Amino acid sequence: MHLACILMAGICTHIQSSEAAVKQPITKELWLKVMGVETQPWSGWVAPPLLPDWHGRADAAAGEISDALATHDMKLVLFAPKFCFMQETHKLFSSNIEKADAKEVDALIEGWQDVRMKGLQKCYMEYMYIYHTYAKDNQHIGVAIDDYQGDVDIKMELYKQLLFPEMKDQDFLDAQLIPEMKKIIDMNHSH
Amino acid sequence: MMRSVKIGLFLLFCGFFVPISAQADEDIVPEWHEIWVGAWEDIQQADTTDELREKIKQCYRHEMERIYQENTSTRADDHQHMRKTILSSVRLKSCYVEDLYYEDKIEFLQMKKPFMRDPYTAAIPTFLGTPVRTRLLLYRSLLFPSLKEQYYVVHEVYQAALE
Repeated sequence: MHLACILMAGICTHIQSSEAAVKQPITKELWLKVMGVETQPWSGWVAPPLLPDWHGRADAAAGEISDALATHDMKLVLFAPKFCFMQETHKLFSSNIEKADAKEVDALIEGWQDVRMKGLQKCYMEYMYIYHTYAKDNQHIGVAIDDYQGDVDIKMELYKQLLFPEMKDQDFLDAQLIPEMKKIIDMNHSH
Repeated sequence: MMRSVKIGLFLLFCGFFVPISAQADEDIVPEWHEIWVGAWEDIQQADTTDELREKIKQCYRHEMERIYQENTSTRADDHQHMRKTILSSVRLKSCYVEDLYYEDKIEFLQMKKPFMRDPYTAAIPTFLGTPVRTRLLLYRSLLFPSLKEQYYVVHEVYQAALE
């Protein structure tokens, strides 16, 4: 009976190891290779609320749009949100996080996620503003930029669901964001 | 006697492990089987990558239209309901899997023939030398919220696209 138990343990190890050989977990190297700039924190992202402190993010988004408008190059204006998304998604795992000791890691990740999600929210605000204000009317230039191609409405909806999970934030975006941003941009322009 | 015990235990063992391994996928990504079957059907029906691109667009479009039709009211509760429908849509997750498969496939094709100039060539934008997949990243973060799920989905799709 003992022998049977030992054999069973052997079979057990064998089954587990052969299964492990088939279902190799994705390695960090492969993840980086496949995802490129998509590397992201270890847990799911939770976007911080937009309200009531939306001014900082709206100002930052409006600032980038104002800079692009100052060039008088419509291509650069249309490209601004895409560049913003590219930059934000390019921020790889910093070596600080890898080196930090276990206690600090959670705090670091949390803080980093917050910053990065706020960055992506800013990009979304740029995207929404530029699309509704310029891209729709400049399709001949806009088609060159894939963010304005195809099903922009679907893209906007899914981005919004990820970046602004709270209903009151979504309502704010739909009803007030564009006029509020316009005010800031006009003010930047007049200075 | 010992032999029959061993065989008996072995069979008991198989009975125990097979369901566990079959269930493992579903544990990592709920409804993975259904998601994958839906995606694979579209992938197999497309003869070219262009056709697949079109199928992916239709997939998102049809599913979002269905979700919108189900949630026509403007009441706040219904907005919440629509969000839940989006997050739990198996079809939308299938669309994503096709989408990621397409991008992986295109990338492999480009690696094989970097100067190819035909319908397969889809310039993947790069930023500081690495491919940018903002849309894929954001969709995935929405549809597969845990990193464990994301690892799994990325790995499965990557392997499928390699073949």
